[in-house]
Amino acid sequence: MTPAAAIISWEEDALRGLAQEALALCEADEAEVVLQGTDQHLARFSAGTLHQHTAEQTLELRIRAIRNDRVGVATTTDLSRGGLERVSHRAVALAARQAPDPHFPGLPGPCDFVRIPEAHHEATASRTPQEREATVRTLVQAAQTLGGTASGHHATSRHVLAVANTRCLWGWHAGTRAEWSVVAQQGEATGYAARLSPDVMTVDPAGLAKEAMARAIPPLELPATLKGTHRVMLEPYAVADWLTMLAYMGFGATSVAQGTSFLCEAGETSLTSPILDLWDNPLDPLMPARPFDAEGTPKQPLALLKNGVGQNCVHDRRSARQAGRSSTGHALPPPNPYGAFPAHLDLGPGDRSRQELLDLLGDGLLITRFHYISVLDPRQARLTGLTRDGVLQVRQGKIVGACRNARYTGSILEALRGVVGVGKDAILMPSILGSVRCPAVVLEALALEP
Amino acid sequence: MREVLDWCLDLCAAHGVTYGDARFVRTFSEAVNVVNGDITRLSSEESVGLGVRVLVGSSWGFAATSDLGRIHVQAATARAIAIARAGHRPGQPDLLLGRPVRTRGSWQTPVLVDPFTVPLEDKIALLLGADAAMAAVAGIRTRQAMMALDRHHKIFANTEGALVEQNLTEVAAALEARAAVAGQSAARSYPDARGHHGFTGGYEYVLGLNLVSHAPLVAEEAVQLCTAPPCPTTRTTLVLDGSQMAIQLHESLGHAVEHDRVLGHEVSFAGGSFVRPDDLGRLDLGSPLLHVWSDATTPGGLGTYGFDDEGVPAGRMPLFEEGRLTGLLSNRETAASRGVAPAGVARASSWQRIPLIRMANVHLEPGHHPTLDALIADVDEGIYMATNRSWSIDERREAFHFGTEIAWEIRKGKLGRMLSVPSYKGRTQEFWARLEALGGPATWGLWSVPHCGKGQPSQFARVSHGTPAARFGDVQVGV
Repeated sequence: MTPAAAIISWEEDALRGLAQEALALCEADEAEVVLQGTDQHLARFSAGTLHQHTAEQTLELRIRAIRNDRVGVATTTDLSRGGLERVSHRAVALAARQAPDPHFPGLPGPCDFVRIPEAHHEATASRTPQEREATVRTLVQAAQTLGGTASGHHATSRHVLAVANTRCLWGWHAGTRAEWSVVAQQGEATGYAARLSPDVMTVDPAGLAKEAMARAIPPLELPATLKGTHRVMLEPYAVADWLTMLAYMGFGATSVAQGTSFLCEAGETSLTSPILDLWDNPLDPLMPARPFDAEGTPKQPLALLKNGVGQNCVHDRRSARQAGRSSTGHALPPPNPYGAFPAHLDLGPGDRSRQELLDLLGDGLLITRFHYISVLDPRQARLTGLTRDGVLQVRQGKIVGACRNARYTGSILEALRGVVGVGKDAILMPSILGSVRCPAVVLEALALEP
Repeated sequence: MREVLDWCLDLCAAHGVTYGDARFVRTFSEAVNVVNGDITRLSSEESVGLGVRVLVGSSWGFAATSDLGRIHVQAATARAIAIARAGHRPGQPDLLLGRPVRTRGSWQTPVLVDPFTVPLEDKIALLLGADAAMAAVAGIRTRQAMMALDRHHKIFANTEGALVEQNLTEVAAALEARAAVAGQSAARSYPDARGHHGFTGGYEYVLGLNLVSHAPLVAEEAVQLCTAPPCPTTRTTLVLDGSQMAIQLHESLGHAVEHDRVLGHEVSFAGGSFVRPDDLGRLDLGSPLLHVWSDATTPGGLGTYGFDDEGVPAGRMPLFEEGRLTGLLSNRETAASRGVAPAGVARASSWQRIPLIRMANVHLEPGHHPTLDALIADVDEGIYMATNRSWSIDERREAFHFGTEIAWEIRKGKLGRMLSVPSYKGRTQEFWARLEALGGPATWGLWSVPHCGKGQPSQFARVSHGTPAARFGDVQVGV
């Protein structure tokens, strides 16, 4: 028995057979099967010691049964014949108790999905426990060499998504992800760095530890409070935190329909600085890519912000029908209360090097990332949150020391209207339900308080 | 199913591991959501699988599989052993787990009305009835009514001889109305925000919420909030209801006393704690009124069970007594490092995840003011806030900012005008030192945090807090 060997076959033919078996058992007018597989390995370490190393393999089957426009959904991880019979029966039974859904658009027919073989990297899929442990050791030793300690995680995983329905639609996609995060610590000071890549061989863990250590600078003897408005440079991690919150609060069709999105009253008004373009970019193999959503709608790059003006919200088939639009290919597995979600956020890079951004900042603060962001008013994108793992004081374009963490409370769209510079080097990192790729930016003003 | 666990433990024994455990979990869930009269979610979910945890010397390994065939279960066990061996360094001292856990027994949530036997039509009708009651109020833009039911069948066994079986049943339901009036928008919930107000127990808990009869007031208050004046920015006396006290307790004290946070294991993700390892018995938050305890046996609590996911029996222990730190939430490993018994609060969110130190039910002891009215009667000027809306706290659990759905000004011992977008902020130790008074048992109730996040891969635990209304002096509000 080889521990690293695949336990569940996720090959296309095997999953297609499984999906067809479930569809054949489902006594409904129409039916859809979604198969989601995860084979994830994760090592965590703190203060230089590996304290958790886990592996999980899951293959979940979700079946949506439709009878007379009544929809029922059931899921299971029991993929035996009996398990398939029970899940099909449950889906049909739920549909029978449901009221007709006037907005249900029906299931899509067959489609030739684009194939993205570059989304799968064998080096990532076949990573061994020893190799992950060696990566952790490299991260830890690199931090120790610079006089610090390191905590964080390293994960490698492979994923599969397959969609089939009784209208002969079939889609299958497999990809890999590798993640690294490190919090470097020197005394009370901490610094952070993280990466996401489909290919585990593309990131230098020692370099990542050095990046984090460069932010773990002891605090200056500054005035006790950062209270006031500061010119600020946001590192890509901080930008990603905000972009993820924008996606959560306002770029989904459900929030627009419920009137809670900042897009509702924006029209052609600039939401952010005109130098910001934001896309959902699901076909870029680096993102990691996904060619179709959980309903089998093909994905395409979609503009969310262009020159700072809101362009689109994302739809699944149901919300698209309600809005008189077409699905944008952003359905999450049904049913879910959140509706569609953009999971491949990509902020267009600018033309400034890191030093040019620091020069543009001049005198101000460099913020690494945020922590525990909470929504106060989604229509204004008004949030509260704290800085974390590196708030650095910059004087005349040079980092001169660190400050203590601080809180901001306000509209992040208002802050992003003051973006005056965008970096040319974007970082890809993991986020809720997907990934974000973005560069650093310089803001004219951000109000902070202790 | 015990045979499946034996496949794991036999392989562990054959490989001479230091310790091994296997945990089978079958979770069955049903959810109904109604939005503006449409049933937007009607789902039935089943998740079945097995997690195997292995200790080799000083190194843990864990693997999980959803395929329960013998070859797959044994392969998962072999994976866990291989992972543990990859991290083991010969010569390092073995990791200690304290006294062996050889518990044998079973436990199930007391249930009067099995929620899975209640016809789905009845559940839908209940939510549609509440929806209709909210719809009768002019100015409501979005109405939501939600119900979620879960049952977890768990069997745990370890190489020390433990074998425990549990059936846990959870129910949850809630309402939310969002109004849009005069260009303003506001939301109001019942019984609590964030979608669910949950219990371990049967359908009797859902019926006891009386959703339909509360629906009109939920909608009316949402409409009134749209034109209510905003909470002023000032320092004042602050009275909090049980809902907000639950999240205050959860974020500022509950997480802070999790032993893995104290040791820095979560520093890169969920964060650390202002509590240091040597603070036990010394740290004094400065309020003799503050008595906090952990109790995984509280009837109805979402953190109520017979045994944790290390097979340790559920129990009760003090965390703060008269404001002084007297306990930490620990698992077998961290408890052994202090030479004490584990708290019985190691929990995994599913079969795929390892057990982590989690709050079970963490409660604040009630005080002597018999009612809310009594608590505010001697307040000359202040604000009463109710129902948590937003929460944010730094990674050391010190600087916090909370918002509630609704507030009322207090003038000369009476509630006055309704106030919108209430919020307050503070620092944990200063804040608790300003605790002036606690409501009595009549103001004490169970509130839930159904999606408490921690760990990588992320895990969401269900937690309950028993909290009374409380009064604090000189707090910054309107921030």
